[in-house]
Amino acid sequence: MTNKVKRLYFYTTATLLSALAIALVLIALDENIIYFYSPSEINQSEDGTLLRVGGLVKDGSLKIGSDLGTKFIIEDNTAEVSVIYNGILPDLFREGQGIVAEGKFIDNLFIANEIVAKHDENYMPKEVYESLKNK
Amino acid sequence: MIALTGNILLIFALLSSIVTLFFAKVPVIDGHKKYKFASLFGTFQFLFILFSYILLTYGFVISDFSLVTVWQNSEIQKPLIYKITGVWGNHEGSMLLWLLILSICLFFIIKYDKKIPKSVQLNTIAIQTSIIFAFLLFILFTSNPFALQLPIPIDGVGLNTLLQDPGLIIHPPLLYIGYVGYSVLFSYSVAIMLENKLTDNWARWIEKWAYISWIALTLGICIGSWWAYYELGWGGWWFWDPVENASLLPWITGTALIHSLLNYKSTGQHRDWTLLLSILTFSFSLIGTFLVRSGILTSVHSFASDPQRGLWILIILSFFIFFSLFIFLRNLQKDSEKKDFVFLRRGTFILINNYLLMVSVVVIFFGMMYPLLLEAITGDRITVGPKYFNIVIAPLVILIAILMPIGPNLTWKDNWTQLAVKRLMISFVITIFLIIAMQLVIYENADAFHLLLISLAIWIFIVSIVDLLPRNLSKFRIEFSELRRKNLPIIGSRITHMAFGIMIFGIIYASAYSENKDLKMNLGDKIQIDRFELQYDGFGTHIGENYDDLQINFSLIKDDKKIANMTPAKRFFRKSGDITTEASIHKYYFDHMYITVGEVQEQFIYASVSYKPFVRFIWLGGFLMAFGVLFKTLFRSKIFGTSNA
Repeated sequence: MTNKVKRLYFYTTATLLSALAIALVLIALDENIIYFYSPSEINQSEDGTLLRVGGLVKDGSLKIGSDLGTKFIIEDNTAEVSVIYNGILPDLFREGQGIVAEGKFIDNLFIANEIVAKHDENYMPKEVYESLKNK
Repeated sequence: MIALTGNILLIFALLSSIVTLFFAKVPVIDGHKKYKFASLFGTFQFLFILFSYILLTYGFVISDFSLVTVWQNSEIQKPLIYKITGVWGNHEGSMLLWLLILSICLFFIIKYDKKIPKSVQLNTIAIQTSIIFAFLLFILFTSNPFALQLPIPIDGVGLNTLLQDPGLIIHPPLLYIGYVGYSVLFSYSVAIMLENKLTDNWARWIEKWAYISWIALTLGICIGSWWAYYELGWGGWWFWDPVENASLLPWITGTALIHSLLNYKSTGQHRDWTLLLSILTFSFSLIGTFLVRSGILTSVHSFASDPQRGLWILIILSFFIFFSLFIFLRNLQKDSEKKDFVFLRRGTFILINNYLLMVSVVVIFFGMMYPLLLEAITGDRITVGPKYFNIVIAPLVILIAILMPIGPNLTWKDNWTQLAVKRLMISFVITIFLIIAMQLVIYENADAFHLLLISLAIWIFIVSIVDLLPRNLSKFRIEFSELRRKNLPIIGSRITHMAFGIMIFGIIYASAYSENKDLKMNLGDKIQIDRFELQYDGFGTHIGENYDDLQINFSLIKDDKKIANMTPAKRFFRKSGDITTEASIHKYYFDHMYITVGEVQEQFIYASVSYKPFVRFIWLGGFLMAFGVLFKTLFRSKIFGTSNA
């Protein structure tokens, strides 16, 4: 093979691999983006899609059950979502505090698999802050 | 007093940088004088910034609450070490640290890189100074650490409690040395491009900086990951958080740069690509800073964010990136001679390395920016889950892992040598043997994907060791003395490659075989986890300097014998009332038993218990990687002497 042909092979392979990478990225992205909603935007009957809900934990709504189960309500000024979470709550989880829950709706209940409350005491998750501001 | 002096020092530094630029760039002054004065005022910049930094530290130590920054981030009761390191635990102070490191770099350029031609040197000083100038303006106008307030409050607000941790002492400075170290490569690269007549030595001049920055960045990232692992209480070591990604991007391009420099040094090929990589690496450092400081990406690293700061950094960022790319495009050189295209030589593998690394950069960067992009276009707010990153990075890591040990076995010029083939075959056989042995010993059934990655980790490890064996056993002695003299830097490279294998092994093993239990425990309850039993023995208290711990006592039991006490805690900070969770970690060979505690009641507690086999390999690998490059750096300069350094 001449140098030219060898080089051609080399760069063709590189291009094909890049195309493959792009395809993979788009597929991976499509399956792994998680939409964020505030309680008033959400369609509670949409079962089974992984999503994030963010708002304030309603005062007096936190109920600690047996075996790690906790139940609480996330609200914005107009709507509420009931959340069930099995697991250990983060340190900054408090009533009245802004949080984001990630999980799925099953029969109008939001089953969270992750609760995100951020580091800083004064820090309101950005999405929550913006969705409350717009109210 | 501190406020006034601090501001004056910063303004003096600003003036010095203007004078430096003047002497470096105004053409009427004669050459020697130019260099002398530019160096002098460059040193002044460094000194003024150093003094202002020391002054701010002093302000923190004596708790001068007339400074807004000190008031917001410190308190009288805070332990001394966190007063000193708390300087970089906030936005203003950390930007001053960033600036200090920039100016230290400038000082080193002036003081120690004397063998480099004066014209290149002068341009380098000028470019480094203009970066300092831009950040000085940024600090003075948007993030002044010496901002004054009256009346003076009696006590400060206090340091964010999660930051009061040994991690704060070393993680930020190392990370910043890494980020900012790349500014030197940037300045040199642009200066080299401005120079039309090129000597081929430039790769040697900047190599040292590429190594040092890479070492610091690697250590910084490792320590950050370790800190998050034990402090955030989730037991994860990497979250694909935007800020983590922001530090990973310059690390990846920095890695590509090191390899590309080797290639250029040995073959003289891909000069432009190498220069572009140095520009890119510092650009990613700036982009990282921009993303963190502007707060446009939701992240765990949330210093108070201010859109105006983001705008400033965006301006600085765009200016330096476009400026350097413009010079780059103007000075593009055709590879002077097209050599024979030989596929199986080291240079090709370095090209493939660079290609794969750049693809990683693109997919990570894309995943990181996609939420911003989508929100700007459709208004939808989304998160790109960690799964995305795992899915797209895994195939790239697999390719890298297959090829990475092969490249160093090849020569720069020819196709395969017999020796290389022999060694790779030997390594391959050993690897297969080890994997089979491992499968027999370990009872868990690995799925194919994890098994493949673990095998590749072993492959990297084995080839790197086999490659260090003497070439010819009968000539072992001669080889050995030659090895000592000439090949020490090579040992460094192999250690780093080997360490990468160790790290991959740890990552995959710990993700695949960790066992985690979240559960409720009553007093005296015992649970089974992996080969251990864990018993809850009740709780006690412990008084710390500015906090009280509620300690939960566990006994770790193996084969009916107690082997350790474990005491995770809830830490209550007296002043702020903040609560943090302190994990308890027991080391067992290379494994960790990891406990955190949630709700604590009279009768019961909620605990999260994990057993993470080989998790220590992750950091061991990371530190060894840095060590390997350090080894290479030290012996490189010994062998080549300072003349080429």
